[in-house]
Amino acid sequence: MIEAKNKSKIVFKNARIIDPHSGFDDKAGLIVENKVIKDFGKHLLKNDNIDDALIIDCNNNILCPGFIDLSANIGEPGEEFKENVNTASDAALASGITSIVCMPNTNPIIDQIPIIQYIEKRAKETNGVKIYASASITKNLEGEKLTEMGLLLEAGAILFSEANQVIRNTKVMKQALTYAKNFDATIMISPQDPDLSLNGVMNGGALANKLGLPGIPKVAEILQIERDIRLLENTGGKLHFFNITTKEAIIAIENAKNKELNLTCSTAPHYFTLNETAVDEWKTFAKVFPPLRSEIDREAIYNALINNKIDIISSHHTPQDQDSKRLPFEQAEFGIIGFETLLPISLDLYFNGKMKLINLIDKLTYQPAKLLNLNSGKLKIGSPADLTLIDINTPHKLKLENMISKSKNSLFDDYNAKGKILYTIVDGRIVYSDPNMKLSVEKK
Amino acid sequence: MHALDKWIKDNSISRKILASNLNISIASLSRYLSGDRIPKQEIMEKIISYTDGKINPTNFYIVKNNKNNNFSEYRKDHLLGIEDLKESEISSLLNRADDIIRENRIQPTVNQKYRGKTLVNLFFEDSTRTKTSFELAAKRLGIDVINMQIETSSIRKGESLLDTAMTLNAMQPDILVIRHSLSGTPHLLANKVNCGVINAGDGQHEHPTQALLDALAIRRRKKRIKGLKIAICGDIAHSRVARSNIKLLITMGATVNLIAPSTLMAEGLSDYGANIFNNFKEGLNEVDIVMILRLQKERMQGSYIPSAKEYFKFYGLDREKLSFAKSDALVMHPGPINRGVEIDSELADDINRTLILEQVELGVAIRMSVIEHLINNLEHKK
Repeated sequence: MIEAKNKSKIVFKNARIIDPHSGFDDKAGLIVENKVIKDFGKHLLKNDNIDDALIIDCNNNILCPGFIDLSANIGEPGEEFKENVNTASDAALASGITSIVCMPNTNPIIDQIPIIQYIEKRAKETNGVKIYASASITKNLEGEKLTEMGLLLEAGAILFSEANQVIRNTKVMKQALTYAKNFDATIMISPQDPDLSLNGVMNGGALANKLGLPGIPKVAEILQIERDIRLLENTGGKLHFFNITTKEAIIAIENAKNKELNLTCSTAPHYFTLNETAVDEWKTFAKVFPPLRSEIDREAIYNALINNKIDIISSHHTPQDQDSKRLPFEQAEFGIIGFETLLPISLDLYFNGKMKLINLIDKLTYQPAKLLNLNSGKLKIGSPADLTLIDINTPHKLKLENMISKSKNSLFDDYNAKGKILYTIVDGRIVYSDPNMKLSVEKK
Repeated sequence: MHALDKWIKDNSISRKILASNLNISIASLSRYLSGDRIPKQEIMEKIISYTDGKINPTNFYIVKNNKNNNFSEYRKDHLLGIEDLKESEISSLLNRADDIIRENRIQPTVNQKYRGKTLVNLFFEDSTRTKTSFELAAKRLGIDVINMQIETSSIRKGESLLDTAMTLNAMQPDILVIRHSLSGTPHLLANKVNCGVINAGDGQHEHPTQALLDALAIRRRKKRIKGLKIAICGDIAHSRVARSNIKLLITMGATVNLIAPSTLMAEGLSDYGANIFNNFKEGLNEVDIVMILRLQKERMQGSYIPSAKEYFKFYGLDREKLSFAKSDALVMHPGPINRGVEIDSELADDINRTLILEQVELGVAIRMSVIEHLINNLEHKK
């Protein structure tokens, strides 16, 4: 239905347009033509006098660049029973996400060119969300031999990561940072010391002891961050830490940034919304890696986002089917789905944390685009028309059964949310529109 | 019948002969047998050696009659842990166990009341004492027992834990006793099955029946738990027995001292109100009961402590270290014992100072009490 209405020209009028890149936040209009942004600004607020265009009256809702999700698991290849490119794409688009970076810990592992090509092919077939593959830093994620970084980049790899692992061998990590620098490639690490976190399943401390579960102490995160920062100082290059969860990590990263290292970091909504008590009595949906931390850490992450000490919010979408979660806590898989809760939960920073909306959207759009060297994530004439229209005022309840993701492992059932996606546009095509909304489309 | 009376009968002698051989009056002997008085240490030793150890101090600690004879305070369907139990609930379980011990001694007959009930022992971890203890408890109540052989069951064929539990549930047992190496497993099952679930030890989380039987042993010997000072020593970090005991003893009003090398101490236990020590001298000061925990072999090889030899020197209980405690302090151990690692071998065998075998004996009674409670509660619900 939407496809039929797609035109090469779309006009948005009566919008509140937010573009963190240029700092624009005002009532305005926007024109999309031939897949790109043709023009936007105040002068287009009421403009609907354009021939042969689809005109969308935004009713003062927020029009901004589509979100770019820096870390997500999409089930392919290898775990199609948990998620596949189609379901991931549908879930992402319904969440205002127009680009995602998928993690390399698939089966087979993304460490060679054909796997990158396979993902590219599947994304093309799906014709929905833009999918960028990250490749592993080391072959087979073994932490020993570097992958063919240059060739992988040529094939389309967007960055290099070991997914939830780190590179244990300090020399190999040093080589990785040094070699990646040749290609100006980003190394992305979820920092947890592998020895201290071995067998751990939740935050180390009193609660883990009470539940009789092996813990991952917070010092595991700080140690790894400090080691890798020391290496970065030595080698130069681009390093990004994702899934930051502790207070001390933020301090260490801030200090390093002050030394003008090329270092950025990100976190995921569950780390600033939930603390370890969500584990309750062995609730496996609360088993995530890295683990949910103490209230002190949760609060520190929350404030670090408001104070701009964390650059990016990513979903770290990790679908797990029932059989992977209906197990004793220690045997259950790590992970929580994140696409459909990314915006509603992050908006808490705006409603209750007094964060400026434009700064919040920045962490979902321009900041990840900048890290990934993408041309999207901003409203610039000639940039790809990847957009989303958001109603941030109408309250609604998040419901597991309404989630589009193939797996429903979310802790946010019944969450009172705001932040409804009305439209999502990728390359100038309407790829999602809210099913409950009457398409307020005017045709000339 | 008092165990010693039975022994007299079995050995075809008389109270008179026994009294004269022990060099005590018949009146004194009668008072021991009625439970009005407990033999002094020297007389106790004589009795033990005279009966070749067939009679031990346990036999004299008979709790006469519990004023609170209804055991209705414990109303839960399951026994998953000590964590949420109230003092009154714990007392109910202990009181009934005392009654069972008394009844058993008077008339050791198989109970008819529970005929036709079924208990399933689902053990995913090796266990001799706990499994047989549950089995014996159930059989004494006239309950049918099924022991699940984990090696040959479908769990080895890839069937998931929950599927196995649901299959068992469909057979409608009344009680499911589970031991598993992963914490929280009994809770997971309790949410899915219709029968009563008893946690027989889950990972590093809890072992509630062990804590209950320890409490029973203490209460029978010391006549109370409230106000006692109890030390728990050894591998606190990995011990489910320690966790359950700490919670129970503190709930019952005891002071709990934890003694362990720092690498084997767990975080957060002071939140329960326990005092933390890393040496015996301070930790055992004025202590009434010393509980020694088992140290797993894999922890003695350098990862937590450098060697068993070093551990015994600093954290193994011997008479010298025991002298820091009260002169009448008693030693407990949940078994099985690593002799010469956590406790001196000769001390472990000293029936006057240790409750180790008594603990095993009381385990059956406490498990009978728990099984009865759960079955009654489930019946009541129907």
